[in-house]
Amino acid sequence: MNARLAAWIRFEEPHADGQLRVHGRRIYILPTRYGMVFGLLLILTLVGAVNYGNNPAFLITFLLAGLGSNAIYQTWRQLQGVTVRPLRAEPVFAGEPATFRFQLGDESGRPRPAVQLAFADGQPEVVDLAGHGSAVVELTTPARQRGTRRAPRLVLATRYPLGLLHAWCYLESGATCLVYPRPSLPWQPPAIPHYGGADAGDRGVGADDFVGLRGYRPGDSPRHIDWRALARERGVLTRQFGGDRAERLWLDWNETPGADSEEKLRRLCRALLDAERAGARYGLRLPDTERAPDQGAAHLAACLAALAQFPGAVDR
Amino acid sequence: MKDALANRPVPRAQLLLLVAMLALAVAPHYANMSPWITGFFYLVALLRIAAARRPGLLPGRGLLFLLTLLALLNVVMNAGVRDVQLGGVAMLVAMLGLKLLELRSRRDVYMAVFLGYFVILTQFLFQQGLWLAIYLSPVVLGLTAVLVAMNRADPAAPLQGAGVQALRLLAAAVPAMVVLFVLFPRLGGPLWGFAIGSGAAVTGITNQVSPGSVSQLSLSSATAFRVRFEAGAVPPPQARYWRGLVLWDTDGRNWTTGPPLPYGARGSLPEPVGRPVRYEVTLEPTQQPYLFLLDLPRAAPQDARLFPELTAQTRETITRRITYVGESWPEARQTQLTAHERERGLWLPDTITPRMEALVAGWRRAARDDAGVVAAARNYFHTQPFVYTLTPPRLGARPEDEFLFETRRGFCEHFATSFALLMRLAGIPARLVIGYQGGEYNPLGEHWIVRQSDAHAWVEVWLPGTGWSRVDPTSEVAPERIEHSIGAADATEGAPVVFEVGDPGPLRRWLRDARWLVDSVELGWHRWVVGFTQERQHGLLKDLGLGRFAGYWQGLLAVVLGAVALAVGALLLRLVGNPRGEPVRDAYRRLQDKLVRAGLAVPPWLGPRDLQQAALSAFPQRAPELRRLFDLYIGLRYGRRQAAASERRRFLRAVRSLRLRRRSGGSGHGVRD
Repeated sequence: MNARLAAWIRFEEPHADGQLRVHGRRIYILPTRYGMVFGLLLILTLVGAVNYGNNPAFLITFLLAGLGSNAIYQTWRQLQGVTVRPLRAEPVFAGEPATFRFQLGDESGRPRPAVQLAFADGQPEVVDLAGHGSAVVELTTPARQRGTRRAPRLVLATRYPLGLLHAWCYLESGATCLVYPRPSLPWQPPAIPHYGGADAGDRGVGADDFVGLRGYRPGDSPRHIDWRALARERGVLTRQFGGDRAERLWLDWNETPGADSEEKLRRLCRALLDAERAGARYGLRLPDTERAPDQGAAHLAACLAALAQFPGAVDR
Repeated sequence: MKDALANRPVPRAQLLLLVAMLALAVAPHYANMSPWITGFFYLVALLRIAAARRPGLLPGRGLLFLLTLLALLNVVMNAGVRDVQLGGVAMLVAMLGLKLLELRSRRDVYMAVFLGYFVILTQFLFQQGLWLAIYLSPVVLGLTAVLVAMNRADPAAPLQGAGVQALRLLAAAVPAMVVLFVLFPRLGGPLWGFAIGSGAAVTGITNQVSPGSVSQLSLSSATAFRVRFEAGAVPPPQARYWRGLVLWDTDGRNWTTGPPLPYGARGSLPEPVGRPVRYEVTLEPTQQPYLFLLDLPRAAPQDARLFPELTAQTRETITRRITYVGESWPEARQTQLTAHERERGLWLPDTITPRMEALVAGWRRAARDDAGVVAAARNYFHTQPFVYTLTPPRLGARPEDEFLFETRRGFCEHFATSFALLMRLAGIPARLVIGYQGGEYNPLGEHWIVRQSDAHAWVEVWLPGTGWSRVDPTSEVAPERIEHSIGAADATEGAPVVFEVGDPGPLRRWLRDARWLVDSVELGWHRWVVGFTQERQHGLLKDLGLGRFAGYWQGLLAVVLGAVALAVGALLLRLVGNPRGEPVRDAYRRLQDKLVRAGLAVPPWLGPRDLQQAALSAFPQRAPELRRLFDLYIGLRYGRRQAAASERRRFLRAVRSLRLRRRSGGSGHGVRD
């Protein structure tokens, strides 16, 4: 969109509680194609009525004119006071569509049929809002780069009741969606010894604890082949086992190969996912942050978020 | 932004509603044009309805093209191209029919609805009656409901909701409609081309009278016109002679107006004597130019001209209801008689028989002057055994003679024509006047209804000194005719006419009242809607104190007040509130009330699940009923799917029928909220 035009456009912004409320003055309204044809019809009927001095024809014309004019107000009123609350958006990996969820609500008690919500450049979703009711609308938008994806400008629109007029308003929801780096192809992160020392001592390489995956080499025991990875067509991988050093798997920025920081992040992302799936305890060490070894969905999410928010991300 | 509804298929219920509404919109055109035109439309509509179930029935592209050609040919052959309007309307109907076969997308539906609105408008080009308007109102509503239904997110939502919404929208538009209707400046005449008439045969008075022509008319109870007199100036029945035409020429059987009086014969306006009567006549379409004025007018109503015989005609034939204002002087007389009028008034056909001559000669010998002859003739009709009947026997070659001396059974035209001939035989100029006499008072509308059955013929004779004087020989035979209307005529051959006298009995009184009511509504429709002309508009504006606004200012006023009315309409609708209330929630409140009355404590924070538990433990013997009731409510209120109407009704019914016995020993004071 033209930047100057964008600056001129009025839009709603969220209140302190994160909810947006549509004000009447921010609603735009224009006739639709059908509205224009309807106007043409009115002109025709008026000319006919005047020509024939036909009073019942005047009545019909004025009734339809009243109907059309009233529709302007009614269509406007369909949007006025609608509330929009952005709901938490689940993080996605770059390249996947980001799904934003919005809760549309009515506080006035009057039903608002066929309210349409869309991103400014996307496909609209339509819902019937009951009086005092609410409905959740899911909208997706592509998320190409890791970082924080802001929801594009929203368009809330309706043509109800007659479809003769199109009322809409712009909303800047402020909703964001965390975009993790796109995972790289599988790779073998170097097992970094943990020099902090374990209470129970270092037990060396063993066969008890899974430490990671590496490419298959002839001679590896079939028992150690990661069949699940094979089934996912990620190649033949061998599961490596070690002693209790597995508890202390560190994924380190400095030890991660990669041409640039984005590639490093992608590799780390992959390593984090693999480690979590393998049930290992893993830590993440970035130049400015560090996450102590742990495991579980929350830990994984925190680590991935750290990758997503790594400096140099393009927020958009 | 794209429209999420734009590419939806048209749901079947909406399609059927649309087709039904269009069929209703077209229906009255059956009377206006060749049945081939409407027939084609209905065939196509039937096909469309059948195709709603079996889409295979819809014609392909080639067949559609062929059908289009056929429709065009049909219009050209059966509506013609000469009458532009009729042809245009026929074309519109044909196009609408073809559109039905192409109702696929949202766009098609919109086009069909708009065409439907237009077809409704064209109905009023042919006929403007109240009944037509009443008939078409729900069609407008239905078409609007189709638009509403097309704009809801849920295509399967019941159509009643759309209907209610359409009704609200239209209701909100009514104030604006009224204001614009009243204020929108009317032109005096049409912009261009005018005539669009159905040319349907209409009963009414024509410019010719022959034995039986008026009595034929008298069988019709159709309204000829309605009259409102200026307050307190209603003339008595014997003065309510509505002059239509004056007939001079006769061949002994038929009476006609003959050629108009020459210019030199004009200028014979009566002197204004006594007090004038002012009235407003609403005339039904007659396909004739004649206006009916009370005896005796001195000027023609607006846009009409007055003839020397003091009859009035419009310039065009009257093809629609019109309203005009008249002023008459019941006591005035036309005292001038030109030589031409004398000649025409004395002219005799060659059907005079010696018997007639002898009769008149006897009167002339006995009378001192012309007035004496007239009195003798009236006396003759009074004393001889004449019978007033709607079904007189047929008359032969010399009808007057046969009537006067043999059959002696006749209707007003028999009495009047024979009386006029006898007067001419006596050398007294006489002319026949036809019009209406009498009328029925409608107390609801405070107006008089003059029906075709009030059609009447009477005579005017010229007496020296007094001038043209009205003589109604029928009153000599049947004086009741002048006082009362003809009742449900006993139309057997030769039977005397029965008059409506006395109390008609409760049922007939009720029927009569209903008829009066309908009649006044019809007249109101005509006076304030159909006949709302430029003059009437000016009059009304003056009465409203808006007389200063004229021309462009009036247009501006219309726009401004129209906008105000629009706001008022929308506001009223808001005040009335949302008809789609929350019956489920209200019913739940009633359920809570019932539980409270039965002794259960219902704190306001208790959700339905917890309340259900509480109710179940309090009334274990009603457990299944209560469980079902709450489950229904929770499903309706919090269920994800749009609740079915039947489920809602079941819940409402269940709440209504729930009877709880008061819990013994329970805490008597429950709270709700």
